[in-house]
Amino acid sequence: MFNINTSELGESNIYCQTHNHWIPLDPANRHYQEVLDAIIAEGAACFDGEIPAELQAAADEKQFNQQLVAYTNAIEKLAQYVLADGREQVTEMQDSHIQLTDSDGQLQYDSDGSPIYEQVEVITVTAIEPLPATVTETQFDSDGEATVVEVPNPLITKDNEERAAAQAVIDATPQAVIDAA
Amino acid sequence: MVVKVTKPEINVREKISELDKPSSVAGEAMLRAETPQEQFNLIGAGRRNILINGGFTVSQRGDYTTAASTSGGSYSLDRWNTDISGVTATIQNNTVDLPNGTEAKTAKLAATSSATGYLQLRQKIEVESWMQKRDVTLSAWVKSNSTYPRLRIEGAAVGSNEDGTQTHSGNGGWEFLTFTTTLADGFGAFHVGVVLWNGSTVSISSGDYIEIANVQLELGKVATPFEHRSYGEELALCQRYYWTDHLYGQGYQQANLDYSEIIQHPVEMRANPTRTLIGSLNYSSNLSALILASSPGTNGKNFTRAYGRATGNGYIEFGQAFSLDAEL
Repeated sequence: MFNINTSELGESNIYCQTHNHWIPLDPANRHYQEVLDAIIAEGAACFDGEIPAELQAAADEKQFNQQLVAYTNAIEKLAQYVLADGREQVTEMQDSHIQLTDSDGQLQYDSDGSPIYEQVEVITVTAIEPLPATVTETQFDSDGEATVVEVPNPLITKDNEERAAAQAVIDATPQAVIDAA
Repeated sequence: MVVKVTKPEINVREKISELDKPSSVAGEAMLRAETPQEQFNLIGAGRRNILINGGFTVSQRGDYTTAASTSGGSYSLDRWNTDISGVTATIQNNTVDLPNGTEAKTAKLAATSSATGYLQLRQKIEVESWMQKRDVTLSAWVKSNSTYPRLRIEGAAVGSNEDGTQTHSGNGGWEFLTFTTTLADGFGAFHVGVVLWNGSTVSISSGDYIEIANVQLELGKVATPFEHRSYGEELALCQRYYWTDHLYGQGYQQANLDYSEIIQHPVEMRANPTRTLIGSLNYSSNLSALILASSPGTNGKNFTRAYGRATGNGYIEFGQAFSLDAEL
């Protein structure tokens, strides 16, 4: 439980009743950051009296920045290919360095006077095979007898869990944070 | 006029044999270095250890010669922070003989419960701009009964976190581990430590431990011998982040007026510190509980003001322990 202590000379501290700490209003102080974390997690319940507006604003800003980082990371995670599905190759037609010529052997230009190059197909995203859905694992019973069993591929399981967690983060992100991303 | 110039003869066979002079890998690297700076970095000349209290000689928070319980995120031996997940643990400061024949103080972090998690002893380094993109080598003597312990850099590695490839064999003996990497271009946090895990949480049993000694982080790609600093120098370095002392005051005071005392910090602290009174007010008479605050009009890094209110006219006397904490 915290409260604000202001001396007769005007300097203010956050007093932590649990640890007998006087915490300065300094963002570089780790206990000050812990006070902000407590305000984010517990709200007014962690404060004896009203949370000063300056502290509440600092806590709101910290929470906003944390949500922004979490949202950005979640978007990046979902943008990656699904390990169970693999990735298809993507190609696109791009200019080569060979300028086209007409039947008379003259270099070709478009209506703007820019050179017209021969088009070639370029791989922009390489294909990746899907991971096998299961892998074999040797398990031992209480007698030390080995049995080879098929289990779900742990890499796919982990990928699915991370994607679900990322989607949960996105779903819980406030609109103001999404707009700022 | 005719000038006759003579040139000493060269023994080609001798010159060729010089090329075969035996030299070690380190000697070869020294010979191949292209600049004095490169040679300087190879041998780690000058002040080397970036870590503070890497020899575990300073312990202002208490005497940890017997195992004391610790929790995740807490500080015990100066500058060293415990990072624990899943299990409970103790911290201990021992004195041991290392395989290289030297005596050293150690920090031992031991699990006191069993669970899936990790155990880490780490130091949070104050980031400075010159650290960006530098080659660094972390080295430490490590003892453990687990095969998981490895060196680790958090926050400052390319990709944020990076584990050393060397691991302890788990045979309960002392082994010297090193880890060289290049720091990222731009980072805000820089933690180094020894961690019991394998890239993710591991199964830890009660009694599993990591004990470390002579931990050094230095510029360059080679681990050089541990740099010993005097106790006084190491203590002063630690006091930028934490220090503790006793207040004592006496005098005559009028009722309902504040008694105030200014305490000058031994060194400028990293940030305006958290001020804590330890225990209860001793020998007090005629004085309310003390309060600690930054000195008005200052950034709080150099001075602390202790004040209390006289409860009656007359003599006051007090003494109390306190600590100031500006750890990262």
